[in-house]
Amino acid sequence: MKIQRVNSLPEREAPVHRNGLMNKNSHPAWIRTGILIALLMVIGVLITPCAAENTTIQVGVILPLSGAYEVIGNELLQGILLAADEIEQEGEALGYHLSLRTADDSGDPETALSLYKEMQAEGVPVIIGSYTTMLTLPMAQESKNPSSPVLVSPRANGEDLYGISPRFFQVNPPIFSLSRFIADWLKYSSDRTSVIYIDDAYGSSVLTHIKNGLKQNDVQLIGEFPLTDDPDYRLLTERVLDTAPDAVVIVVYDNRQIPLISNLSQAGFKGQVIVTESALMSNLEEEIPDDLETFALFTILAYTNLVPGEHADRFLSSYQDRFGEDPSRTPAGYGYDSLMVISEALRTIPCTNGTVTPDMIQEGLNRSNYYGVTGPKVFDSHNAAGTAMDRWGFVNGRLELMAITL
Amino acid sequence: MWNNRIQPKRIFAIFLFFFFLLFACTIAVADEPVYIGVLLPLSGPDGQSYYDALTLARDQINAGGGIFGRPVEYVLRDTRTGDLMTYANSLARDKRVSVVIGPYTSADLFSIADLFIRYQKVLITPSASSDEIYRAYAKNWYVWRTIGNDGDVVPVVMDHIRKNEGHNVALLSVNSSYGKTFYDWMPYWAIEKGIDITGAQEFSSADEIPDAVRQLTETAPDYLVFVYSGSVSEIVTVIDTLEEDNSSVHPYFIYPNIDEEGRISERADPDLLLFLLSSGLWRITNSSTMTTPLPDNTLILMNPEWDVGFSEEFSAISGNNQAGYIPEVYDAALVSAMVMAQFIANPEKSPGNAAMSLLTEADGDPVPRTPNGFQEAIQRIQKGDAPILTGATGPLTFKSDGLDRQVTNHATYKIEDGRIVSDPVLLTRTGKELANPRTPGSVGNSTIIPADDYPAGEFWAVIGALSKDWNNYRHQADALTIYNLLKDRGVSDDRIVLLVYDDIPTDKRNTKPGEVYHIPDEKEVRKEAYPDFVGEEVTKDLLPAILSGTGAESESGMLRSDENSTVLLYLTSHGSPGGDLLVGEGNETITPAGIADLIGDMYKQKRFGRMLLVLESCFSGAVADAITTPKTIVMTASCADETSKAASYDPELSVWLSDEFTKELVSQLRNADRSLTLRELYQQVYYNVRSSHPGISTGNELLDLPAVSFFGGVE
Repeated sequence: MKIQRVNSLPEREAPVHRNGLMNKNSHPAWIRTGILIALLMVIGVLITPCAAENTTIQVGVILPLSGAYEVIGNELLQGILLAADEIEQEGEALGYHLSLRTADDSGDPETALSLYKEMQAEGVPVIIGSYTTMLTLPMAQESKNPSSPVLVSPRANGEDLYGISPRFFQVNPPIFSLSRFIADWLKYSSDRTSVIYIDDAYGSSVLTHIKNGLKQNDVQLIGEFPLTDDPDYRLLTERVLDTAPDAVVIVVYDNRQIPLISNLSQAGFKGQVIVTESALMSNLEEEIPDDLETFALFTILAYTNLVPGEHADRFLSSYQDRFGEDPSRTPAGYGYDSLMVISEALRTIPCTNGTVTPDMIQEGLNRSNYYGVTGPKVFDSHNAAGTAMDRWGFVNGRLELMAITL
Repeated sequence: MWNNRIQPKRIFAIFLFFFFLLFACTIAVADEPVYIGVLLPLSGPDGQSYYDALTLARDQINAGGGIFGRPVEYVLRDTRTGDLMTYANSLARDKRVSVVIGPYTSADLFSIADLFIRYQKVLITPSASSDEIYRAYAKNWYVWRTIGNDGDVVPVVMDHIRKNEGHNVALLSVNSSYGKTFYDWMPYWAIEKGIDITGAQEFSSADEIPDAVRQLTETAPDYLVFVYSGSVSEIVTVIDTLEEDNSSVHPYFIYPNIDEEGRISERADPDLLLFLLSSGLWRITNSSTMTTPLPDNTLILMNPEWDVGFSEEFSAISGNNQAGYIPEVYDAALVSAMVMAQFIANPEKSPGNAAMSLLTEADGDPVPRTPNGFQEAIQRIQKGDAPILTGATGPLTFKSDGLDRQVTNHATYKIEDGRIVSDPVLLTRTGKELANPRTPGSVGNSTIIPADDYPAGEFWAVIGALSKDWNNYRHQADALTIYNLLKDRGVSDDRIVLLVYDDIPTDKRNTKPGEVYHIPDEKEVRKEAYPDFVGEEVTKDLLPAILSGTGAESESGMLRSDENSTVLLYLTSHGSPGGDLLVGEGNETITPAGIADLIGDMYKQKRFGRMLLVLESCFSGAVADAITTPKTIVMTASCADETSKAASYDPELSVWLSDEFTKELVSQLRNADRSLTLRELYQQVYYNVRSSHPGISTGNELLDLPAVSFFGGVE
C-alpha cells in the first residue's frame, strides 16, 4: 500500500444535493461528528510513524575497514555503531529498528561500487559510505539511477560530488567552504604559499579552490606539488623549498602526512605548515612531535570534529566509555551524524506497513533539521551539509583546539 | 668472420650513434638553467622585497637571453622561515649551484663562510657589512659583497659631525658583529679627524639603552652616535630618553629607516604577527605602523635615494620599497650572474678564481643596466674581457684584494625644521698623517746609535699571553710567535720566560691538535716552544714575582737580569677602556699604574739597563701614558682611546690567529737588518697597521738603537 503524505488528506466526496447541490445544513449533527472522528483516526494513523508496526529498516555501511584507510574507516564505523546503539535504545518509541549491513571496501572504489550494487539488489534503501571522494564517486554516480539506494557520505566532500545526484547527501560540508577559509587565513599570514596535494579528484579540487581564494586575496601561490603514490619525499621537499614559501599547505588525508611533515622539518623549514585534514591528529602528535615543534606555526584547518554543545559532550562521553578513545580528534562524529540524520529523517516518514523506500528517505533528508555533533545537517540545494570548521594549533607539545567557526 | 662490406657501415653507424648521443647531451646542457643559490630572508615585509628584487634581476637577464642562451633560475632558501645552517648545508652540497647570494648578517656569514669555501661556492652578500669580514676574507676570493664596508663609512660620519660643528662624540652601539665595526673604528677615525670620543658603550638588549644613553650624555658630547640592531623601537627609545632628560645632545643615527617626512616607522614584526595568529587574533592587518618624528639637528647616515630608473622598475613589480638592501640584493643577483658567466666560459677556473678574475680586473666603460647591456657584458666575458657592470647602486667595481666595493653607497642627511634634508659631506680620508702633531706616529727622524757606543749587556725576555679560552687563540699565538722570533735569532730558553695559558693546543675545536698557528698554513709556533708557566699558574700575581726575581718557584722561570741587561717585556691580552690588562677569564686585571709600578720597581732594583715594553691589547696607549721610568720605551698596539684589531682569520678553525700589530711587528723584524732603528721599525709598523694607531714613547734616545737589540740583542 502506498504511503500517503502526512499533510495530504483524503479528498472529500462532493456532497450530494437533494436537488444535485450540496447543502451543508441538510446533514444531521451525528453524521458530521462521525465523519470528524473518522477523519481524526485516519490522521492519527497516518501521522503515527509505524509505532504499531515495529519495522526493521536496513542501513548499508560501506567503509574502508582494511587497507590504507583502515584506521579512519573504523573510526567512522565506531561513530555509526554508537548512533545505532542510541537508536536501538529508543527502539519501541521510535517505532522502527535499524539493522546495519556493514561491508569493507578495502579502500578500493570498484569494490565499493560492487558492494553498493549488491546492497541495492538486496533492497537496502539507504547506505552510508565511503570515506574519500575517490571511493565514493562511483557509488554517487550510480545513485543517479532512480531505483538506487540513497547514499549518505559521512566524510567525502570533493567538488565532483557536490550535487551529483538527488539521492546523494554529504554530511561533511563541501570542500570549497574550507578552501575559502584557508585562503582567508593565508591572506593574513603568508606572502608566498606552496601547496602539496594528493593527486586525485579531491586533492585537485581543493587546490583549485585554494588557488582561486589566494588570487582574490592577493597571496602568491608559488608552487603546486602533486603527491604521487610512492613519492621521493626528500626530493619533493627540496623542490618545495626551492620556491621559498613561507607557508606550506598540505592537502593529504592519509598517513603520507607524516613523512611529508617530517621531511619538511628535517630539511630546515621553520615557517608555517597548514594541514587541511584532521583525521590523523593523534598520529601526528605521537609520531612526530619534535618535527611539529620546529615550525613557527603548525595549524590544522579542517571541518570540525565536534561542535560545542551538550549533545556533543554526551557523544564524547559515550564514545569514550564504549571505545576508550577520544573522538574529538577523529572523524567518528561524522559516522555518528550520518546514521543519526537518517534516523531523524525516518521519524518524519508516515507508517508504511513495513516498507521504507529510498524516495521516502530522500524526502526525509531533504527536510532535515538535525543539529549534529559535527554541526548542522541542514542540506542545501546540492544536498551538502552546512559548514563548521576547526582551527587547531600545536602549542606546548600538543595540538589544541583554538577556535570553531560555524 | 668479418665481412668487409659490412664493417664500414657498422663503424659509421656506431659513429653516428655517439655523435647523436653527444649532440643530445649538449642540447640537454644548453637548455639547462644556470642556477644561482639564494640564502636570504625572502618573506615578511623586508624579505618579500628582496624576493622581488631578485625576480627583477633574473627576469631582466633572461629577457636578453640569459647566460649563453640558458635561463637564470634560483635555488631559493628563505632564512626567515628556515634554519640557516641546514639551508646552508643544502646549498653548499647542491651540485647545481656554484654561487650563492647571501647571507643576510655578518654573524651569519661567519657561521657559514668556511662551509662554502670548503665546497668552493662563491658567496655574495648584499647586506653583511662588518669590517671584520674584510679583515677575515679579503684575498680569499670566495666572499664578496655588494653592500659597502661599514669601516669605510665611519670617516664619513666623523666628517659629517665636524661639518656640523661637533667636536665631542659619544658612541652607543649594538653588541654584534655589525655594531662592532663602528665600536672599533670610530675611535680610530676620531683620532684622524681631531674629534674627541667622550665615551663608548655597547648594548645587548633594548632595555639597556636608557641607562647607557644617560651615562654617555653625562660627559656632554655634542653628538651621540647610535648604531641599532635593526629594531626601530631602539631608535625611538633613544629619542624618548634624550627628550625626557631635556638633553642638549643631538643624536646621530646610522642607517635608520626614515620616510620622506623625516619620521621613523615601526612596522609590525612578522614573527609577532604569527604569534598573534596562533593566539587567535588573526583578523589583523600587517600594515599598521607607528611613526615617530626625529628631532631637529639629528644627523643621519643612510642609503642614498635610488636610481630613478631602478626605482620605476622595482615599483612596477613590488609595492614595498621600505626594506634596507633592495638595490644591493638586485646588484648581488647581477654580480652572481656575471660570475656564473665567467665560470661557464672558463671551466678550468674555480668559482673563486672566476670571481676574482672578473671582479678585480674589470675595466673599461661600465655597461648599461639594461637587458641588452647585460648581454653585452656576457658576450664580452665569453671573449675573455672583464666588463664593469652598472648596478642599481652604481658601477660595480671592487677592490684589488677582493670582497669590498671600491666605492660605498651612502648619503648624509640632517633634520631641519622637522624635515629631512640632504647634508652632503666630502669624504676626506686622509690616512695616517705623520705631520699631524696629534697622531702619535710622529716620532721625528732617526739616527742610529752605534752599538759600540751603547753596551748591551745580556738580553732577557719575558713574554706573557695573559688570556685563556679558544676565542682568544690569537693572544697565545702572538706570544708564541714572539718567542719563536727570539729563538730564531739565537736567544736561548734560559733567557726567555714564557707565560701562556696553553689551552689552545688541546682544545677540542682545534682541528690540528697540539699545533698553534699565527698565520693560516704557515709556520707552526707551539711544538718547539717550552713555556715556563702554563694553565692556572698564569695569574695576576705571577708577573710581579717574575719581574722582581722573587717568589717564582720555577728555576727556569726566573728573570736574572741586571743593570746592564736589555729586557724585552711583551704582554698580550684583552684591554679595557682605561688600559687595564685582563688576566685569565677577565676577573683579574693589571692596571696601567700597576705595570708602571712594576717597571719602576725593576728600575730601582737595577734589574735592567734598558727595557722595551710591548703591549698588544686594546686601549694600550693608556699604559704608555702611565710609564715614566727612565731607560724605558713603551710600544703599544693602539692609542689610549681605541681598540686594536685581530688579523689572519682561519675559516676552518673559525677563529682569529693573530693581532694585526704583532703580526706586522714580527713581519718587519724578520726582514730587518741591524741598521733599522727602533724608531724606524715603529714608523713602518705604524704605517702598515691599518686598523689602529700604534704608539711609542717619544723623546727617548733609545729610539735610535738598533731595533734588533730589543729583540734578541746585538752581537
